[in-house]
Amino acid sequence: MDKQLDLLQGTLDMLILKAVSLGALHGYGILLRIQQISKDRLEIQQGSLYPALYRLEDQGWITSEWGESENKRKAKYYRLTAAGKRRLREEAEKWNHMADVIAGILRTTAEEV
Amino acid sequence: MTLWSRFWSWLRAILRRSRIESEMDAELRFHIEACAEDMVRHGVSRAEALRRARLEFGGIEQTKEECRDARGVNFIESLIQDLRFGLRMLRKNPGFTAIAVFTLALGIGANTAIFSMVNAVLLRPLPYKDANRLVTVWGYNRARGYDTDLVSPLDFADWRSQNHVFEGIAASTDTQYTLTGEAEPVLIIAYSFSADYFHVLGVAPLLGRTFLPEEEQPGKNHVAVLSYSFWQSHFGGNRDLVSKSIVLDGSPYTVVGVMPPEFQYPPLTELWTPFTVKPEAAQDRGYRYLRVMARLKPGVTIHQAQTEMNAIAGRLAQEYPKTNKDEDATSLTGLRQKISGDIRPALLVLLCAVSFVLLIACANVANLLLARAASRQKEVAVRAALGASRLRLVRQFLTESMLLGLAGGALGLLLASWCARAMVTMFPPTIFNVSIPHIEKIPIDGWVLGFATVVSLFTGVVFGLVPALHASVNTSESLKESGRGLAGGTQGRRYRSALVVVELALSLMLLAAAGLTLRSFVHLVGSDLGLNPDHVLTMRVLLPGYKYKTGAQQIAFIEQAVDRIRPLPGVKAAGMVTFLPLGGWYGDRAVRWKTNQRPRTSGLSRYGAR
Repeated sequence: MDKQLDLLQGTLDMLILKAVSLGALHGYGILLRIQQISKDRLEIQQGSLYPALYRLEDQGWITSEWGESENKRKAKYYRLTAAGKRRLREEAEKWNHMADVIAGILRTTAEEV
Repeated sequence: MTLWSRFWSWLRAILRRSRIESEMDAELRFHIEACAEDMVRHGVSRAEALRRARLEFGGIEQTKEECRDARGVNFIESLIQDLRFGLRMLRKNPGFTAIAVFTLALGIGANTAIFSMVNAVLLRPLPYKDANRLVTVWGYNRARGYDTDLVSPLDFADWRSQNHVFEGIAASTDTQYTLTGEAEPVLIIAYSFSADYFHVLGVAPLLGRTFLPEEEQPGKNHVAVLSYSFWQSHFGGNRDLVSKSIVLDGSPYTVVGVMPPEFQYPPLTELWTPFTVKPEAAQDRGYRYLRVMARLKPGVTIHQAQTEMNAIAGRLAQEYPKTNKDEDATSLTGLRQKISGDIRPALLVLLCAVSFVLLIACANVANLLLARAASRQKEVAVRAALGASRLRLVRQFLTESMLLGLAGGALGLLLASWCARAMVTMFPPTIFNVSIPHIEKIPIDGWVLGFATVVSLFTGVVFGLVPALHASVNTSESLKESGRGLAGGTQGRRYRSALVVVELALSLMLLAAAGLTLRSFVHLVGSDLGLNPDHVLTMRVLLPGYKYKTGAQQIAFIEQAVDRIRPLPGVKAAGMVTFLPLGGWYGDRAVRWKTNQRPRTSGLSRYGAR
């Protein structure tokens, strides 16, 4: 297993939106989903997950409702809203664009300048 | 996210606070237990799994606080805390609270009262459609500087046919009738309106119709539209009256319509009849007796209209030099401006004066607060030591002062509503010659309530900010200072001296202004009229034209009446006059100068007390 990476500032919101875009999840499920997709390469502070969820819900990008978990317990499930879908697309575009630019800069060799 | 939905989420957060808290608790507990179960599945003992899960999660209380912040709930919660604490502090010092609230109530009450008057007179929309497009149009005699000249029917007809700036232009003139046939004969204040006058104002009748164009012609003009109050008081609001006849000046007039209650133009008019050109005015362009109202076309400014009307008046002056040589211009005034007339500057001055009163009240209360802040420095120091930020302290003090402001505002509103009733007497309905609007009541409406609330809150900030900033500063110092028994420290004393200086300066200004006003008033009351009004009674007699047709008949009646009044006991002398001295507008009369020698002004002169 690779060494776990600390999450870059401001990317948690985008990852949460992506995680719930694949289906409704409870908080712990979101954590597991992100770790699963990232193949355990990302380290997420569990405590920081919930304030982020509350903030995203307050912004109207996700909504929540109480449901039953796999092990028959009451859990709060989060779902992406239409506005959240738009937001995720924008964030992803921005991120990809940024990543391209940065990668381009880092690839630059002395001859190219 | 809109402000509105944010507000709702706040409100929900407050109302369902305990539910949200328990939900948050359940959610975090679920997380930790689910995490622990996963570990149990991997063979860790349950107790150990729970311990590790909690450890991994981090500070639960800290997370909860961050969650609350994320929802924006904390702001509201601390506001509620501040309000509760503020109320407790105010209750604990009833003497201070009472003095502060009463002082503020006087200031805010005076402001609200005057504002309610400004609101009623200057701000409330006139009850006409697009009233800002209504203008009054007057002749302008430049030679004599007389800019609200009445208009002759012939000039009016030319104005109407030649202008391109008005959607409609209509004329009116005042008149009186004697109503007979219903109980006692009554003198009625009436107005003759050209047929389209109601249309120009943009008002529809409550019942029936207004005038038809053909009703301007003699013979067809015996129709009347009643005002709502006249209809109520003299005919008991009888709906069958429409299309029935009433007797005015001895001849039958058909009632064709009744206007709605809010329509009172010109004020106090009891009924309207169609305007018919007087026979003597049909030939004479110099016979000026009409008041003209017009509605600007959309997009036309009053300035453009003025230019065009002046051009028309200029042409008429060239065409008819005999009558119109000096009437070569017009003057246009917006209806609102015409109605509020002379009272506008007076009201604005009053508003300024009461705002000074409020400032003085603010300075007083700020002084009280500063004095009290000294005794609360220990409290502040302790709160600061426990981790309250300066912003948080200032907010708490400001909440307290706004509470005071609102309490003062509530009491002030009470004072104002009581004043509003008394102030109606400032607009006597019997004065016609001074241009003040006629007002029957000064309503305390949403605007006045809003004004009072905003002023209260604003006042709270004005008198509370300096004491709050002062109280929250040097918190560490105050523990030491209070130990030495100092009251307020040097800075507090400096603030207070500054406030006293401001107060004194404002009070002096107001006192000087009040003194000057009073002096003018005393002058006015004591001024020499050029006659001795002591023990002089006056009486107005209007003879019904249909009975006393000729001047000779009227003079005979008056002479007979005066002859019979003279011998009455207690009467020293009796006389008659067409218009009382200093009677205002009604005293205006034109005389013709028949001489070969040219007088200093033009051929037509105007005398009168104006």
